Amino acid sequence: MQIVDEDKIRHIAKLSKIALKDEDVPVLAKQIEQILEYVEQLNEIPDNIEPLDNLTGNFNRLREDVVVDFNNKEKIISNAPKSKDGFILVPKVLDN
Amino acid sequence: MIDLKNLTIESIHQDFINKEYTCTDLVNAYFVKIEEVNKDYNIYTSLVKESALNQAKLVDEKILKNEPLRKLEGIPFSVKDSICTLEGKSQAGSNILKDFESTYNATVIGKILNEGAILIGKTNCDSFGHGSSTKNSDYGITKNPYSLDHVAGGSSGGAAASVALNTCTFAIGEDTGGSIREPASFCGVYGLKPSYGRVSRYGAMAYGSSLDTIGELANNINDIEIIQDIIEGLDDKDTTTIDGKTKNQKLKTKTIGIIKEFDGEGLDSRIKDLFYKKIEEYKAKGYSVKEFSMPSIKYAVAAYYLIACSETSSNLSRFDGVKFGFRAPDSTKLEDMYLQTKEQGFSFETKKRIILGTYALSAGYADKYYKKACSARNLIKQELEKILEEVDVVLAPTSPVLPFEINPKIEMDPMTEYLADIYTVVPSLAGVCGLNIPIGFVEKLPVGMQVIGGVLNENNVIEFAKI
Repeated sequence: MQIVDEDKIRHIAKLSKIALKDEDVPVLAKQIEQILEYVEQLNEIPDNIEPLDNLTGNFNRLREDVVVDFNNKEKIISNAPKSKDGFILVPKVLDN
Repeated sequence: MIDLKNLTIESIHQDFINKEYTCTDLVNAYFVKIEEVNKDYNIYTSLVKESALNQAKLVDEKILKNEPLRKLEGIPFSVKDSICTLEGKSQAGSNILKDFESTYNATVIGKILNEGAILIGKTNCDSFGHGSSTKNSDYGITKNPYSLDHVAGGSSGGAAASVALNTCTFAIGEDTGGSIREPASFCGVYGLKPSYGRVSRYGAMAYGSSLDTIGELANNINDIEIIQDIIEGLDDKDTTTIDGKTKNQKLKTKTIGIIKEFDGEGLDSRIKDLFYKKIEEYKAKGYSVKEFSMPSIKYAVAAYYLIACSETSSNLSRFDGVKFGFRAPDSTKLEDMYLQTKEQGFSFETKKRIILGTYALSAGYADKYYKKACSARNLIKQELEKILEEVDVVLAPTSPVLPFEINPKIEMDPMTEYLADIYTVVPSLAGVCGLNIPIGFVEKLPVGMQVIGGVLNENNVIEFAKI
């Protein structure tokens, strides 16, 4: 049974904010289908096994809220693809 | 002429003190070596020659004045491109960060520089760690030091080759599912992936945050020990770091564990022979060998790819062309800029992993994929930890296959490449430490063995490697 088709790949790519090239879509669909078929075996795992997502047990380790000055601000701005007067420039967000 | 082949941190310091050569001589010698090999092997993505030589001069002045040397004073090292350094570029092997320069040093880099080491360059890797061959780097493939027709492995392929070809004394790499251990195995060097949380990742570009670790590669085990001791420990800037209370726990059972399921059909029989020959050597030294079964291993590769890709789909969303890195030209609208920047800036493999991860986390599928993968992880962790309680270390081959051949005519099945990660993803999922040690050659290609120890037991695997 097919799990993902090309439309699904286009939809997920859109959610991921990637404008895929047309020729990549069938290749990705095939390769991701292959992976999803392989991972199907995880369904054998009983539901009563707890999912583990925190390895160290650390949780919300808090620190004092102290301001630390950063001395390389110009470089941060200069890393932006486009900037002006210390602001980062981006294309128009809204139409009109 | 300095013989770069057998240098260690200790021998270099001895040579400095005995005035065999200066630190400047050493740094120059490494740069001559880089010049000689980099064109063919494609190890470095950027070099920092000027600042390295300036620093070497200061070290030489210190030596002349007979001042005490810090632990890594004047020792040249390389850093994986996906770890941020103030000097040089930090491009993560990806076009989306082409020519990016970090505004700060990663915590590990700060610790190493504080001990006086000299950064000489950044090493090639699969973009964002996405791969096990450096084939997915936007800066070309790193070739195997023992054969230009084979890969150096990945994702820290440049790091492993930089050490194997004697272009630096040690290398800092990053390992999510085998990215230090597998290239170390392919290049015939030592490479340690510490336990999860042992070394701060602050300043490393995240791939899979619940798996990422920073570690070191070197030509001998003593250097690994020295560097590991310097870089580990708590860091306020990485809240997953843990305190090393169980350090210096000594090897006590004189028992080695091996895992039945690792001896599967995918294992190259020549690697298997070398591995069991090594086991016999330990037996001859008085070790007993106990075989365990770990049924959950069949889920490991599936769980690893689902978890790592889910996390990478979230981590890499920050590369949107706004604040740093590449921005697609000619976008007139913001949304279009995002879409085109990611399409043009990410490698095919990175896009594939982002899409897979987004799918595995999307509404209606997260329970089926992501959560199940985390349950598999729980089983793997429990089973491996139970085994590690009974033995000093668990031994396994590092890779079931020899370094992949570079042949544009043969397209490697992507799933086959994923499955080759089986021995390294198991310790990664469990969060325990693993060390590659070289154990021999098949034809002319290196083969490695993994020494696996419990959480925070880096000391044990290092001690074991010295036997």
